Amino acid sequence: MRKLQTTGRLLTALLSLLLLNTTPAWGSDDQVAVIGDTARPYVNGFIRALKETLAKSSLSVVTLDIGQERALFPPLTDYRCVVTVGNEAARLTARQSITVPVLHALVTESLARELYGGLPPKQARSFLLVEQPVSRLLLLANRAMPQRKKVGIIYGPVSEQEQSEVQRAASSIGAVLVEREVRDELQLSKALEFFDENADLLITLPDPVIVNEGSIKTLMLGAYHGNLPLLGYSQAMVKAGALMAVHTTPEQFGRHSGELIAEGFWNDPRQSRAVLSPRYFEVSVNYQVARALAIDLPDEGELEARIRDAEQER
Amino acid sequence: MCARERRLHAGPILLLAVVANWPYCAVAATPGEEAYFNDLPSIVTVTRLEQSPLEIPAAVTIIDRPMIEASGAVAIPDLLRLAAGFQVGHPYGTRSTVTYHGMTNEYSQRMQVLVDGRSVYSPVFGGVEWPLLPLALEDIERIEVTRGPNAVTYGANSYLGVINIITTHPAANTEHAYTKVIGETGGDFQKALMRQGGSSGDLDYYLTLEHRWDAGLDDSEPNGTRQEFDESRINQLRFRSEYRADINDYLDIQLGVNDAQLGQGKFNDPVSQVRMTDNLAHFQQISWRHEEDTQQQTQLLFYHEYTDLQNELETAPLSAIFNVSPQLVETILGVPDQPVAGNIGHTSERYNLELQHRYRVTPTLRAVSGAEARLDRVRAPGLLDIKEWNNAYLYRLFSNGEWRTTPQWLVNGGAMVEYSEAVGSLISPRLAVNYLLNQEQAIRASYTRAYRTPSIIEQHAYLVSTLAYDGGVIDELLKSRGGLEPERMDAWELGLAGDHNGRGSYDLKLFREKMSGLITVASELNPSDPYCAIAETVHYPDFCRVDAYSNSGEIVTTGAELQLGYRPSSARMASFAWSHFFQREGEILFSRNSSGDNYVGLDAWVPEDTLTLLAQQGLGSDTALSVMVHHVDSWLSAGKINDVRFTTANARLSKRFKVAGDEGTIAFWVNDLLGSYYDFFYFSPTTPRTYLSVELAF
Repeated sequence: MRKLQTTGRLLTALLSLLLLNTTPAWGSDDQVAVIGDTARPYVNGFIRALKETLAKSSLSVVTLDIGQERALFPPLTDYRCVVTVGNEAARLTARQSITVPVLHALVTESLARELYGGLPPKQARSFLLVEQPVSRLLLLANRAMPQRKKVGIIYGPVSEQEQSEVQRAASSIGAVLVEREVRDELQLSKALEFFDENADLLITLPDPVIVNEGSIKTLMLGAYHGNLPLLGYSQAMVKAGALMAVHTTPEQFGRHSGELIAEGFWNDPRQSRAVLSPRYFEVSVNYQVARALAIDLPDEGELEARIRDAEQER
Repeated sequence: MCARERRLHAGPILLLAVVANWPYCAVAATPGEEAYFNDLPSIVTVTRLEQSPLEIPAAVTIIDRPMIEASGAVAIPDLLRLAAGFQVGHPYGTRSTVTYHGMTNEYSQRMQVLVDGRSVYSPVFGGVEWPLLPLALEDIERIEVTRGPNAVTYGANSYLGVINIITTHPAANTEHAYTKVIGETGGDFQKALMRQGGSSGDLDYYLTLEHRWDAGLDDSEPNGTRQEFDESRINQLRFRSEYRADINDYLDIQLGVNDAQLGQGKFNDPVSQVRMTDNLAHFQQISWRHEEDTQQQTQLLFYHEYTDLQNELETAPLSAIFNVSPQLVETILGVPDQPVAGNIGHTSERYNLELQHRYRVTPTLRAVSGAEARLDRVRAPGLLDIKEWNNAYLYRLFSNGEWRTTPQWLVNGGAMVEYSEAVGSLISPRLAVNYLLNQEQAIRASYTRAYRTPSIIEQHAYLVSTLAYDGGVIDELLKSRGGLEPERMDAWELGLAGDHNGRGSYDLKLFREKMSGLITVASELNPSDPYCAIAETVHYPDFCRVDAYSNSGEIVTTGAELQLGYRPSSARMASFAWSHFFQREGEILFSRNSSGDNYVGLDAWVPEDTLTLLAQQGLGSDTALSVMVHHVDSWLSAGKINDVRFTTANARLSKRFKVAGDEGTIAFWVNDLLGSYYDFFYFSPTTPRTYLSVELAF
């Protein structure tokens, strides 16, 4: 018991040490500060691409790792601009008084909506959303399987906020929506049975009730056995058994952000206090699922081109 | 923070209450950006079906790459302390023993270990020859540890638990990496590792080469004399590749070889003299996987393993052992004074073929079924009563199903049927029910039966010491009565699991385990020993005794376990593992079949409490500090207490850096920094060691 107490004291001392932080670096006008958790692979991918894009300009990139330095940021006012990567980084800097332009990249729409309301007047703060515009997902469905007109969509407590946007996007491309709301995972199977009868394909949006590690099999199984192609929003979903997804890679987000900075987004009234959707995207297809569902699909590159063409037409 | 969470400071009991009441704190979190980039987590070890942590029918601990790095472990066994209820012992400097809930000797025969689906359970002694595994720590992607019996999925000997080591996929290892570690372990420690990965069309591959030299622990006596000779020199190579024949078919090929020289014996010991043993192990593994669609997969796996351990012993002359004059030896024994020889070396091979098919039966019922055939060959003339190659065939049929009766209720059931000539047919079933409270929490209840079959050494042991020059038997050391029955385990489990969006997880488990037919070693009278008559004359009672294996009784234990994980960001994490047996001293029910024998080893002992905490915090400037604390309390058996208890700690400081665009890590760490201790073997103490490593990836 005495040993345990000794250990407890030692542990307390060590944990106290853990809480100590150190102070980092100062910026300059030809530098862009990127704030993110660099141990997350997608953040690194983003930063690499951002640096490559900015390499053509006179700007260099300084990385501030929130995993390491969350408690004490250096002054951010001396940089040309600040880029945050991910929700956590955006939240951490949201309340800071930063006079230089800020780009909050890879943020979810719900957070962007929340932070947008509290923006200091006249400050150039923009948001680059991690989500694809719903219209892009609907275009993918339409251009890949034009004969499947009835588009099923499940809303959960979080994604139901996007219902009106989904309806607008659907009407603009002539898709027939079949909608269903579920309040918890228990209703998911019943909703899937409903779509089996009433929809030609199924679209999912990010929602903790609809797509989580516990529900994913129910979702994949239900769709697969109802002969319903499932369209998702990430490559992981395609790997897990969705038919296809439209998504943006971290490198594409980095490239887009680099271009916004090189263009001086803070000088462009359309972009300086804007909520932006990703400019670049990829389509991933699970051809095994396609074969199992007897759906003949073109190459991923061809699908990407079809969506781009359709977006340009609009 | 909800009110219940604030009570965390009040102690472990309240911590349990917090976990049990977690539903009141849980809210449906809005997914962050990581939902768009991260893979969806799943566990495959428990049933061979991909399942979420809430759907599995057993308690599982995941030890992933960040935990491996933060732990400061330099050998694979030391990582297992991160799993609740696991103990790691070091009977000798070069040998490690990993067990769950105690119940072990130095070979840990009750634990199944798999590497990418290949069983590395030794056909000779059981357990794992850890230093001979052709596997570098750096090649491990993650370890799925099933805490509890799982013979229903992997057959007999998956008895106390299953350690499934999953190595990095070739597609994820296409870079070149170089790692250099130096250390001070009492002597020196040096390790150099080089990995080269690449891809060519549809082929991904990597090759890892490792050289490790460890001068051994500083296990000096207070007077400065060293006890154990535990130097080791290990060279190993491992290759893994995957070829995508087409979108449905994948071919995985793995090869590995390990050439190890391991020190044995004790300094200044006339019997176990110091010596370097030569050991060689290699394996070849090939698997073909056909992905018909998302719900149907067929896999054919074949592997071959070969292990050759050389371990011949020659003692000092008998006069030195008994501390008498050479003339007296000749007078008493009737032979000239000479050393005694023994040979515990052995050669073994395993050929294994396994076919497995995952499929959907109905929209709510998924299953995996398969068959396996195995040949284990062993040659150990100095150890067994069989002097030639001993061939043991094993055949298995298995099936596991997952039936979602309603969206909340999930039933996992299955059975393993196996046949071997030595023990006949065995059936290991499991039935489990999971109830999903919500998308983040579930409770489970399960019953599992498992068997452990006697190893070849347990069935056929005949270890004798012989006169080095004359060749005659001087002492029978170890033998089996033969006809041993398999050990049987009946385990009941009640669990509460939670997974909070990948950032926090917990698993609380209450268990009752009943083990019958326990095979233990007892020292018994052996009048047939050739020199029994002079045992008293030379004051050497072992001349009239022999260690013998037998099915010797039944043990029932109950207890609780908690595994907590918290990872708010990649630079900050904590993992907590705790296991407790409800029995107190003398309350372990261990009924022996015979009385009066002197039991050897810890086969019927359980540690009262085992606790591990791993925490890591970023310190800024790409620097991180991690600390791991591990505590094991007294070991309990029937009416006895083994007062080996210890607390130890590792601390590691690491910094990531970049050189010309390439990434690297430099780390300094101290293992067992609180000082020397015995883990649960009294043979040699574990002592503090310091290490410095540099890793470059380009």
